Amino acid sequence: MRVPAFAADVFAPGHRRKLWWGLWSGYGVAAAFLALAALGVTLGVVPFRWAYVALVGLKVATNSASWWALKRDRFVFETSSLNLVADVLAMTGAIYWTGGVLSPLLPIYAIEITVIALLTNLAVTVRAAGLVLVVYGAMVVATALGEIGRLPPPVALAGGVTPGYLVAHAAFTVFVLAAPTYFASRILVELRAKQRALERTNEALMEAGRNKSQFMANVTHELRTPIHGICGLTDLVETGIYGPVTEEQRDAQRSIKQSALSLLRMIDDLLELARADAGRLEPTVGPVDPREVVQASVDAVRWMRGTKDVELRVEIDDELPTVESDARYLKQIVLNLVTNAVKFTSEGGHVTVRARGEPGALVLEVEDDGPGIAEAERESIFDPFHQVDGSPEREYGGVGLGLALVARLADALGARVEVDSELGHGATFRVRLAAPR
Amino acid sequence: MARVLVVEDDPISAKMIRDFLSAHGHPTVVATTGPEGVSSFVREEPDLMIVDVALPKKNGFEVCFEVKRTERGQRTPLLLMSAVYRDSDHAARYAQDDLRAQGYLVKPFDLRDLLARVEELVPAA
Repeated sequence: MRVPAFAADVFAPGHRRKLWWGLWSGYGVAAAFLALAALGVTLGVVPFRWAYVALVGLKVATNSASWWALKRDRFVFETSSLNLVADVLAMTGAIYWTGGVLSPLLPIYAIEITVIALLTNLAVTVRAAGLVLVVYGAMVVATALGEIGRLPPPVALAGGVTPGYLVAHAAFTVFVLAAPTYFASRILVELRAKQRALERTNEALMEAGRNKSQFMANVTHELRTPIHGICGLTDLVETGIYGPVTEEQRDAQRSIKQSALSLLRMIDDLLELARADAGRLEPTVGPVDPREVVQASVDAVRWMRGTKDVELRVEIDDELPTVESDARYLKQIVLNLVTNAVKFTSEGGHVTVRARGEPGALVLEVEDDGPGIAEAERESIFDPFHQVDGSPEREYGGVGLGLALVARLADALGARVEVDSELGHGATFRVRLAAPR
Repeated sequence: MARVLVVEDDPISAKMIRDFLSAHGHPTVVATTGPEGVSSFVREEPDLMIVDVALPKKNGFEVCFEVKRTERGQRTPLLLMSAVYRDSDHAARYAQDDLRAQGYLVKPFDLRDLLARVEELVPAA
C-alpha cells in the first residue's frame, strides 16, 4: 500500500527516529497501564478483569507488529496505522470498563493526541482525534441504548473517596501529567537544538556574504599583481635591455605575454560575473563606435587562435547607427562570443563577425560553423560554468563562463541576445541594441 | 634624465619598473612600504614618483596625500598604480581630482605607456 499524501512526511526516511520513539513509548505506556491496573486491583478500587490484561495484550501485540515492520522497513505505514487504531480501541475499552461516561480515565485520550501531535503532523493528528471521537461516541451511544452493559466507576466500587481511591487517583494523575510533559519537553529540546544550529548556519552565511566582497577585491589584486610581473618582465626581455634576443626568443616572449593576458581576461570575466550576480554592474554609458568594438575584439582574438586554422571574417556595414552604451561591456560581449565561436569551430572553419544596422537597432552578430546547439540546450548555455558537454572527457576546454557573462552584461546594457542554431550546422549569436534614429 | 622613485611592495613589479626606466636613462630607486616611500621622497628629492596603491603600513593614497601636502610634492609629478580592478574609474577620478596625482595606471600596464607618461611629465628629461 502506498503511504497517502497527508502522512507522507511522517513516513519519510528522515522521520524514522520519531516512529521508533513512538514505538518505545507505546511499550512504556502499556507497562504503566498494567501497573495502574494492578495498583487499582490491589487497593480494591477496581475488580480484577481479564479485559484489562486483554487490552494491554492488544497494545503489546500491535506495538510489536510495528516494531517488526520498522526493523525490516516493510509495512511500516500499515502496522503504524493498526497500532494507532489499537491504541484508541484499548483506551476506549479501559474507559468503558472503568465506568464509561463516569470513568476517570477520559484524560488518556488527551495524552494520546498530544503524543501523536508531537510525533506526526497536523493531518494525522486531526484524523486520530476524529477516530477517538467516533469510537468514544459509539461506546457512549451503545451504552445509552443499552446495547452494552453499564459498569460502575471506581469511585462507586471503592465506596466513595477512600484513602485507597486517593492513592490510585494520585498515581493516575502523575501519569496523566508526566507523559505529555515528558514528550513535549523532549521535542522542544530537540527543536531548540535545531534552531540553534540554523541560527549558527545563518550567521555563518551572513558573515560569508560580507567577506565575499572583500575577498573579491583581494583576489583581484593578488591575481593581477603576478600577471603584471609576467607581462612587464617579458616586455623587458623583449626590448633587449637584459641582453641580445633572437627572433625566436622574441616570438616566445610574445606568446608568454599573450598567455598571461588571456589568463587576465579570464580573471576579469570571473570578477565581472561575480559583480553581475551581486547586482553591481554599473555600465558607463556614452556614444559607442560599433566599428571600434568589433575591430578591437577581433584583434584580441586573432592571436588567441594560435596555430588553429580558423578564418576570422569581419563584415561591417558602411552605414551604422551610433548607439549610447558601454563600450567596454560591448567589447567584452563580442570578445567572449568570438572566443567561444573560435573554440567550437574545427580546423579549416570560419567565424564571421558582423555589425549591421536595422531599423531602430544595431545588430552585432557572431556566426560560426561549429557543432551547433541543440534546441534543449539553448537556455542553459547561458548558465555559469555550463557547457553543452560537461563530461571530463569533453572535447572543448574552458570553464564555461563566457556566455553566462555575455547574458549578464547584455542584460545590464538592456540588449537582447538571440541564438540561431541547427545541430551540426553552426550557431549564430546576435546582440541587438536599441539605436535611436 | 628623470630621477624616479618607485614605491611598490611587490619585488618583481618593482624590479621590472626600475630596470626598465633605468635602461631608458631614468635612474630609479625603490621603496617598499608607505612610510619608507614618504621618507625616500624627502631624502631623494626625485623628479617623479610612481606609487602603488596597496602598500603595507600606509597605502598609496595616503602616501600621495602626504607628499602632495608638501611644497616640493606639489611640483613633483606622481603616478598612482594599482591592480585593484574594482571601480577603477572611481579610483582614477579620486586620485586625480582629490589627491592631485598626475595619473592612475591599472596593472598590468604596458611599460612603453609608462615610459611615455614619464617623459611627458618630466619634459626636461
